[in-house]
Amino acid sequence: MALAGVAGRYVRPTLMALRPLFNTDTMLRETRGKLSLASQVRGLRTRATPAVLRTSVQPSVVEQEVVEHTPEAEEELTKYAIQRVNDQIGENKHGRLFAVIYLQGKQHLVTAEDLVVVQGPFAPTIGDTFRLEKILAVGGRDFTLLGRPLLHKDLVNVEATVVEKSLSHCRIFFYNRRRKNSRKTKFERETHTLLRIHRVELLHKVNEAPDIEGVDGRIF
Amino acid sequence: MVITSPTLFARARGGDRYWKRRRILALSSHFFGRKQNCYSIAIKYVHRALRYGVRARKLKKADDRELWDTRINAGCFELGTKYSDMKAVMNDTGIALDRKILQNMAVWEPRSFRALASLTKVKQAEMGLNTLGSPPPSGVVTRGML
Repeated sequence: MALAGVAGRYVRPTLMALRPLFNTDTMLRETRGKLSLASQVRGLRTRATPAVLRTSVQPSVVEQEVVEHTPEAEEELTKYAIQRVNDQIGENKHGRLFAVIYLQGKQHLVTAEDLVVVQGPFAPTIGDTFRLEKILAVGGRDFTLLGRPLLHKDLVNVEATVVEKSLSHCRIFFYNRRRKNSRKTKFERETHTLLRIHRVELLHKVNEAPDIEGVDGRIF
Repeated sequence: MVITSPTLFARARGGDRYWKRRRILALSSHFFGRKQNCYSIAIKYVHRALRYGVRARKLKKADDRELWDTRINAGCFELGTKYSDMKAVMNDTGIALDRKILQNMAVWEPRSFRALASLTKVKQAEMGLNTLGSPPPSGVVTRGML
């Protein structure tokens, strides 16, 4: 049963009953301030703003960065770099060179005096000297020449000699199914050929390949 | 008495127990405890070791590859790129060096590896990739040919 208190607000019956005991004025003031949450929130709500008319969009200022394309500078740099490399090649001042060779499906990074192990069947016998022609990269202290994917045959000379032709250690292939009386043993030794790389050298300067390529010893 | 002829149809069955065991015990000479000297115990562990060897020979290839990938990635991160980017650029330009060589170069030919990393950054900058970080290194000229 709603009871009308002061200023038309609802006051709880217990407080009405206790009114003569306490200082009712302050109690009533406090109850008056105690609005329901919804009422309190309703007072905080802002008035609805009128609809804003959309004006035309102003284009933002486009900032363009001016990049100076200087092919001359790039050409200069290229020439300078190649000149420095060719100077070293001409005077043989590059020092020890390494080469990345492609042999029997594998790549090896070799220098002079290196030993390379070739696994599996390999025709050349002991004492045979041959030239490794598939070179992927050549480099020294100050420059590297990378092939795409291979360098030209006439650019690099990598010579190797077969030093040893032997068998690998015995590899045991053992298969066992325990407690099932099933086992199988296989022994395998594959041929290993040891190559000694004699030299890794550059035959001509960069960008100065001879017009007529040598065809001696080539099989077409 | 002199025996002039051998016994007819005599068989020599087995008789190599000692050498069969020797073959197993030779493989167990570096084991611990009775496993290295007592045949009936050793044979189990020798069989296990041989099976592990067969399996490991296959796994070694994958392990090596993973190690090489880690090394190449580490080298690339030191120089400000990633191996995945380097792979893409090498594929585009036609450089066919494999993982074994790249990890070797990352350790022993650092200047060559740095050249590859610089090439990666410049080529990516040309394509418009990875441009939010530092600008690409200067001194790398492609002239649109790579």
